[in-house]
Amino acid sequence: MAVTHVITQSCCNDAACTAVCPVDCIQPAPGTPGFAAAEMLYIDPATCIDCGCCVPECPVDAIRPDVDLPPSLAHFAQLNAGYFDGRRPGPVPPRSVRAPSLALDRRLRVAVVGAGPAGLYAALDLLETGGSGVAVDVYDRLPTPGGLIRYGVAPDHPSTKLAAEAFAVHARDPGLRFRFGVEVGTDVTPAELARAHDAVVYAVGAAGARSIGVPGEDLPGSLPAARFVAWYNGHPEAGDRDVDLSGTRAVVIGNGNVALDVARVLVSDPALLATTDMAGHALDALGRSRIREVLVVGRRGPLQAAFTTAELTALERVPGVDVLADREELALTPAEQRLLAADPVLRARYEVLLRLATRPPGGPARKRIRLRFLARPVRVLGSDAVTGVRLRRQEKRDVDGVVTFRPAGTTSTVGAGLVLGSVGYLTPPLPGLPYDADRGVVRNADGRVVDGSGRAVPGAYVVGWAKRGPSGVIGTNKHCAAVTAGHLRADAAAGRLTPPEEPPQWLDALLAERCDRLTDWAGWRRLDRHERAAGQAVGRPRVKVTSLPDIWRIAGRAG
Amino acid sequence: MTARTAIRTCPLCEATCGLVLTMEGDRVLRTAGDEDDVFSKGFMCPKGATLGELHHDPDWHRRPLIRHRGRLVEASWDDAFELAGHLVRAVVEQSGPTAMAAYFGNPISHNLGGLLYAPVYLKALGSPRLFTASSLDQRPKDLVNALLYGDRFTLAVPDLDRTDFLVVIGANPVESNGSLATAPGWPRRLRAIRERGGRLVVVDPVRTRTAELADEHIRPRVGSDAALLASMVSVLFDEGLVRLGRLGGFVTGVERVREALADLTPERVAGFTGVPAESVRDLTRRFAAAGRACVYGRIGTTATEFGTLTSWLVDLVNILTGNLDREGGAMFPLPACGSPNTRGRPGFGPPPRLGRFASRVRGLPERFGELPTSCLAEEIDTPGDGQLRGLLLISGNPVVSAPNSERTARALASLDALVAVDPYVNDSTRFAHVVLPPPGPLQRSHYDVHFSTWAVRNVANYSPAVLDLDPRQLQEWQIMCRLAAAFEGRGATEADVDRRHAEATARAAVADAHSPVSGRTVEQLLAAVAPRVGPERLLDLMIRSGPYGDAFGGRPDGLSLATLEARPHGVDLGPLRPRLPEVLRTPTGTVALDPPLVVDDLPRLRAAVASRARDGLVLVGRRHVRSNNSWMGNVPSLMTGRPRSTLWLSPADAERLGVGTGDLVAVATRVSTVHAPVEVSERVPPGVVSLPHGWLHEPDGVRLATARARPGVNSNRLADELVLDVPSGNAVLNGIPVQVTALRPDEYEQPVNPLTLM
Ligand SMILES: Cc1cc2nc3c(=O)[nH]c(=O)nc-3n(C[C@H](O)[C@H](O)[C@H](O)COP(=O)(O)OP(=O)(O)OC[C@H]3O[C@@H](n4cnc5c(N)ncnc54)[C@H](O)[C@@H]3O)c2cc1C
Ligand SMILES: NC(=O)c1ccc[n+]([C@@H]2O[C@H](COP(=O)([O-])OP(=O)(O)OC[C@H]3O[C@@H](n4cnc5c(N)ncnc54)[C@H](OP(=O)(O)O)[C@@H]3O)[C@@H](O)[C@H]2O)c1
Ligand code: SF4
Ligand code: SF4
Ligand code: SF4
Repeated sequence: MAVTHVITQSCCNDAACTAVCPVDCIQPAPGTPGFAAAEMLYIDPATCIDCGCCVPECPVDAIRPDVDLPPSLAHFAQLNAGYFDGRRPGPVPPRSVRAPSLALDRRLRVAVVGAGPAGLYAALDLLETGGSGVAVDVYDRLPTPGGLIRYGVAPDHPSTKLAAEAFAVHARDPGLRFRFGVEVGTDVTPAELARAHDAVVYAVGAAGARSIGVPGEDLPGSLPAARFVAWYNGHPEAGDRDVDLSGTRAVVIGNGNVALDVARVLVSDPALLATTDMAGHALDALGRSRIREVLVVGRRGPLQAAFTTAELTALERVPGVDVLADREELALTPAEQRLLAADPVLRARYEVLLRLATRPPGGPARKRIRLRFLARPVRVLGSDAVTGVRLRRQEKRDVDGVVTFRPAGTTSTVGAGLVLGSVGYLTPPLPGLPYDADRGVVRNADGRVVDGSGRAVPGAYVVGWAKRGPSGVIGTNKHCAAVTAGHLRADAAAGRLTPPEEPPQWLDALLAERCDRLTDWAGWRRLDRHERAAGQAVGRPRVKVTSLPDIWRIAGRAG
Repeated sequence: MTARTAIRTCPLCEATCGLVLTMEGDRVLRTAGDEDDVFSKGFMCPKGATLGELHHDPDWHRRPLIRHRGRLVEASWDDAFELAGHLVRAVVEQSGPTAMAAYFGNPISHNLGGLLYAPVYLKALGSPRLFTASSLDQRPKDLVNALLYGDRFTLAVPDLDRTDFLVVIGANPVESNGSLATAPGWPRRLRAIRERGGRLVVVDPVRTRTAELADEHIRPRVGSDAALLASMVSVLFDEGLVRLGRLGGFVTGVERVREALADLTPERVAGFTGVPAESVRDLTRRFAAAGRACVYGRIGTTATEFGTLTSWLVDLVNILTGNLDREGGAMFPLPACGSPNTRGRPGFGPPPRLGRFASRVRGLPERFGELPTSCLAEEIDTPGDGQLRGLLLISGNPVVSAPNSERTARALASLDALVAVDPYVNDSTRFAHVVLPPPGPLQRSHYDVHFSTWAVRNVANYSPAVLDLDPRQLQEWQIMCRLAAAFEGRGATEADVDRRHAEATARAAVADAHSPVSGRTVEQLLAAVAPRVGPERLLDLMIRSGPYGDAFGGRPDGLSLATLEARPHGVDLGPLRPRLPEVLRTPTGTVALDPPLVVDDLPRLRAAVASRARDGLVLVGRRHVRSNNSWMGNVPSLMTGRPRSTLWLSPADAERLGVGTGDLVAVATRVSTVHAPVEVSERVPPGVVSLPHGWLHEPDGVRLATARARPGVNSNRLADELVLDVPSGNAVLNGIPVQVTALRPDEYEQPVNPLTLM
């Protein structure tokens, strides 16, 4: 009769729940060893007292009482319990609430560049600890906040998109101002921003895409998954030209969660997608798509796959789609067996893969996703357009107890009309800001921007994907932002920040002159209301406006 | 250091959960619900889980404080008692005992020493004016209990574990863990009703978490519960559904009730309640046919404009359907430590003490020796003969919990003597001249003398203190004995006062001709409980002379405190059993269903029904499982997370006002205006807004670091002390008409701190 709560698929690791759990049964909690690497958080059913306090804290509606789990999420009860694997939690750590702690003789003026999760977390962290001693201006080149929550997160993950609402709750803080429509590096230089602020926090994300690095990659029909994602999510710069979906097979290179997202979108029932906020042009194109099969190709083995267990199980449940794996590619080395024995989450994931490998393929009417492992791309084939991919088989063996991979001799060819490189996003260099080309991030030491010789650039900070590289979920950026904000506060307290040379009006005047489009939170709300109203009329969460001129017209100018 | 385990009952709320604390030294490493507890069976809530944190709260004072040059500073106990005695005697000498008042807050009823020793200092003070949190809360129910059954604590509680049809009205036990019905694990017990095929109906304008558990959720207009219940009663008569069964032999006045309510039909009141007549008829029919059914009402039915009528009607529905005093209906507990309805002549008692005197300023009648707390401030701030000049504040924070916080604060600040027994320097005690802190929750023993009289199962459970006192702390009962001695000013010692009190308790027991110890001597009883002192001595006396007691040898296998000490998970005394008519203490030995004091209030209800529903917004309170009235806001683990002190606004009202979640609005009544952040919520219907109560807000002088880092808006700043439930004098804290206006950011009174969490 005891009831427990269960964390489900949309968990984005922000750990908002752990802070309120009175028995500390949500693990791994921040500050514990497993937190940074955790795919998601889990509730120990033996310790949970079923108080429900965590539920309203969750920005993505991931937590449910086990008695209320819908069938599509029922397996998460086992996944949560499995994580604990019989271990019982230790002492409940002491807690404290944060009070504004920054005491300076002047009001700190901070600019945050980028209104994605990292930038918004940084802004809130600074306001929370600074109270009325801090004023934060958040800049974004787009008139829409949320970054990849709007333009990355898959349209069929509506709970995840709720994360944007959690930020909206704080948007009316009098210490917070939004300047939408300002591209830093183009409209205004980092040096100019620095002149008008005590500190500037760069949260510009990763607007570009890494290339696979094989010949043929630039053929028509081959494109980065990042572009495909931006296209179906209606990013105004992705355009609405059609992606060619006339072939029957697509190949996705890489097997991270982005790869699963695009694979899922490619084979999902268009009628289901039509209930999401997917861009209209993508809905049309996917409605005409002839793709029946998607190969998701990982260069390493099943245990090294970059996707998460939660997303794998979601894939398994896409209606009308068979997800298949090849039994042979799932074989494990002794070192991998040991790894598996020690890690219940990995075990759960491997069990799913085994199930997929033994499941009889459904009828020809069903679409298919094939998860391939141990195959690296060597060339994208075709002359005018993509016709396929050549893959080389990888071998694995244990060296000194550690599994290692190397190319084997055999290659094979897979025919395909579409190739999506899902091998990671990339932060492009931002003019006027040090860049670390090796890592593809703003050059930084734990969030302080540093120059080529490792010296801190006073007053310049970085958070999110632009700091760490393109990995981690929404909530990962919260902890990342807290670290950077901590450095900023320490530098402020130690007098290492230079007070602004120019008053705010100076920058306002400069922007008024240079940016023909400029709006604020109220402008975004106008657009938001417009999109939701349009969505309501047709039974969708929203209908995204995808052309910049239309967006600007609806949002209007800052008041 | 090695970990050890301590078992104790949680003293924080009425649910009385058993806790298992894993301790290392004096620190609590982890707390779990006690699976072996005979009553709670492993249930606990977040407050119990963080009891250790409460105990170690650095702002919980361990030494007395006295006012010195305008500031509260630590002092010795001797100095503190001397100052308290001096200030209070000065007031009494100058203006007489009625210039002194005492205010009791809610925690005292969860506190063995505090509860049992209240009489000693009240007696020492002569006859102070008495105010308690009851008149901010359940006074209407007290009044109805006294009028129907002969004692205000003779409460019929829902037989939660056996009922097949429970109607919960104006209560949110999933958040509050239940009140006026002690049952650890309400959420589980409510779910169990449905699991065994029963039905749960929640009547509440707000979609609470309790409503979400229900089979049916009926959403009447705020403040219309009395009319709704009256219409149910009229249907019972109208459709011939009245079935008194064995109750027929004990009740009178049925016909008068029929006449009094005949016109309040569902059709007649539907415009006022907003509930379609047919659904009221349907509900009433099903309720009447259910067999084991019960209506349970709580704060949403009491702290309202028609609190007394509503409380009366709850009992009427239960009685007229034959569900009073029957299994699965509303039943009377039989507590092991005894209660007013186990003492004296079974069935009979004197008329209740009502209206023997009136308040000086507004002329409000006393109820059970108490004046309405709503008139506390005016009794202090209105000059003239009999003006209150001194106040003894026992675990109470009336600035936060009474209506019109600002006036109450000004009044307390003006007193000549304000002596507080309280661990905290809070919104009220910051004005004190003396603050006497009781020991922390883990340093006291526990027995629910009060709540075992309202428990849905008869159980007895004693917990010894988990931790010793620090050398310079005093137990609460010691504080109270010494306070009494200080007020007397005749040099009595703590032991003297304690002995006198024990003698008085024993004397009352042996003098009761119906007690199993009748005819024994005081000396015999006291010798038998030696060498115990303090509350344990009293408790042993009460249990041994109580309904299940060993009667000091008269019933050898009966209970004593020693039996309970040997059974840390409690002693189960079984499910509730029918108690009519012996439970009564009425002059006639029957239940008169038509007390004039109540029936005479019906014209007021009729007038409201005739005027139909009000336009505009009404404010209701809100309860959260991590809060506990005014006083747990300093426990960090309970204060992390999203801001909870928000104004819930329906989407339609938000749209109309042009505001969204996160915006600040001004909420105004006659009394005050507060600024609160909006949370748009579909839980409230259009026309209803909701603010939680009990938030602490004043920065001046309050020493509560965590609570001040998470400030909130106190809904009682808006409550009007002049608006009362007329028969009971209870404050109206639910259903307050308010004006809400949007604020522009430049009008925000202070930055909204988006305090999220760590
Ligand atoms: C396809 C995809 C799906 C994902 N799905 C999930 C999911 O389901 N759950 C989950 O938890 N996480 C998911 N993530 C991860 C999550 O979106 C990221 O962790 C997060 O968005 C990174 O935050 P960020 O603020 O660093 O970057 P971004 O979200 O990219 O935000 C950067 C912002 O900076 C602005 N900007 C860039 N350059 C400039 C400039 N020069 N001047 C002004 N503004 C500028 C951009 O317009 C943008 O608004 C997904 C990621 C991707 C790519
Ligand atoms: N929760 C969600 O629903 C969700 C959805 C989308 C994204 N996200 C998060 O967003 C982040 C980014 O996701 P992502 O999928 O872009 O990145 P990712 O998780 O880092 O995955 C990148 C994949 O590309 C492969 N790869 C890299 N270089 C390659 C090459 N040259 N040739 C072949 N394969 C190559 C990697 O293989 P190796 O491992 O062998 O290098 C890996 O499989 C992740 O943290 C992800 O969890 C979450
Ligand atoms: S329901 Fe309560 S105990 Fe369970 S995980 Fe959530 S907060 Fe923790
Ligand atoms: S998203 Fe955050 S709050 Fe929700 S379950 Fe995951 S960690 Fe907890
Ligand atoms: S429900 Fe009440 S008694 Fe039980 S743990 Fe919570 S506060 Fe304590």
